[in-house]
Amino acid sequence: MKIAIASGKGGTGKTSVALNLAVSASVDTVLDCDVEAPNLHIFFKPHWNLEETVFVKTPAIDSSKCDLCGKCVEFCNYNALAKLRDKVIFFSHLCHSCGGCSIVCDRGAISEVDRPIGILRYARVGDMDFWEGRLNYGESLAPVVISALKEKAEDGTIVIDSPPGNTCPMVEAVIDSDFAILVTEPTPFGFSDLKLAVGVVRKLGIPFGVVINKHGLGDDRVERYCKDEGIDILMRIPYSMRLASAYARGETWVELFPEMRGKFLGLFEAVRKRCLKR
Amino acid sequence: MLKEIVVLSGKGGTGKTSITASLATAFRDRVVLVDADVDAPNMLILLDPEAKEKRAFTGGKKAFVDREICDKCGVCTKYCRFSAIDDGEVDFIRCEGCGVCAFVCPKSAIEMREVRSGEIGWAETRWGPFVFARLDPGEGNSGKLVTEERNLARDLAKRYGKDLILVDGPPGMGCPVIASLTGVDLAIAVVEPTLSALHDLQRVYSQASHFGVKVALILNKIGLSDEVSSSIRFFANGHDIPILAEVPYDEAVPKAMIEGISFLEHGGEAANSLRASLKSIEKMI
Repeated sequence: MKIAIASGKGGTGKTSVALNLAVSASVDTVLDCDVEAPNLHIFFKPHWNLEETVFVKTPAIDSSKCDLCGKCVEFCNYNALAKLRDKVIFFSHLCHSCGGCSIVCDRGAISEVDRPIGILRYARVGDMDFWEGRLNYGESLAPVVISALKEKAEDGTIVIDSPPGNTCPMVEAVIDSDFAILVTEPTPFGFSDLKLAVGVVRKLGIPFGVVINKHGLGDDRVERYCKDEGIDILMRIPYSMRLASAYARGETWVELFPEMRGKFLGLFEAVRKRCLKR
Repeated sequence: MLKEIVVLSGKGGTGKTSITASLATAFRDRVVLVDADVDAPNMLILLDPEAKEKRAFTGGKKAFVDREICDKCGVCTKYCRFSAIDDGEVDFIRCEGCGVCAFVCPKSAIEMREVRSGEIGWAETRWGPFVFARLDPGEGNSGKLVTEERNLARDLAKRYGKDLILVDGPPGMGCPVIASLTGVDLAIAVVEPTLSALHDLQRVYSQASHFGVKVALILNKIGLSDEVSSSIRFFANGHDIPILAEVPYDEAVPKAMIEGISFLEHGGEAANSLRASLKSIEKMI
């Protein structure tokens, strides 16, 4: 069972929900798919057992074979290649690694080489397997790192901490999940981003429910929206300085506050039931 | 001289948009404001503007298969690196629009067509011209859209005689962040005193340095954790990053958001501390 925690907007408490859900329900695997800003390790304080590099295929141009015909430059839809007077140059951060340039080159001047764009790290945390992905500075292919990370866990109960937003990285993180928990906050910003996230999970056909964090801050427009749209609100986490400070210090709610463990177990049960129903 | 500033955060929810809106309030008449969080734009909510110009953004192409011609030979499936085409069917969410399938198809059954993936426009607001854009849910190419926004902002600055472009940046480190960071004069990182935000600040700083952009800090929500605040100051000191302002944790900030105004317009402790720092911010730009 794959449960993705997503949010649209950052800072709504996605990582907190993923962390406390995973710890209270003792899931098998936790994946930190927020590869641009991974934060779960701060709470798990892991001793890393393993590290792997993630590579993408990238063109290498042999200028002795290149006759400057420009076909590769013309083909590249990402403007990752440019023809100068005497050579073709390559902008690695624009390349999507489609391999097209090497296919269109008649002279066999373009080969593909492996270029590292990020890393995966593994740690055993209690009874859980914990994997995190990290995109290297200056790289843009977050979805590739996320996809490599997701290959690390196939079986058992898996919790996925997704990146914020609603575009490619978020889609890659949630795409084959059995259920998505959308974490939001009851503010105009949180509400606006929730609607976008709902649009994505609906488009992907993933069943989902909402967790309202910082409940009590702001207004009731999220509640009204969920009611009108028939979206289940699975949990409300109170707006509290006590919880915010614990998060700030890198501490886990369910370990500090026993009543929170019961609430998160309730959330897990609610999600499990909805997955079984399918 | 036209200056460009991008406000970044690494982690979302640190108050980037609230701070950017307040800076726009402070520098009104000089500024062209850009919301580059095209993935989840929020500045619109505070401004509720009426668009002067708005157009569809065609972020790229997608593959379209002519079923009459396709004989399902599978060559396209073999060459597609994104698992986006199978049995003559294209998965539009996975398709990156590279065009490899169309190139390798022995029957020429595949055509690449421009598709809409969002919108871009600008509006007149109480803080000056405001450039906004939005990607359709699930779409990609956010970097290109941010680049178009910055181009539009430069045009508007020229047209209306503004000397400052203020960009509310996207969270994270990926393509839209790179597109909003390259070639700007200053990156202001908004950081809250949480360990997560400190960790992400270190990543944002390295990223900005990688692109040769100067970084300054605004420490937001002081009061969440004194210990983490000290760690952030220590990090800033050690890397010669100026701290432009220290803004206290203040419930007036979400209240202002609900009223649809910047917290500088709303007033309160956070507003007072930011106002007191405006001189030092102005010096920096």
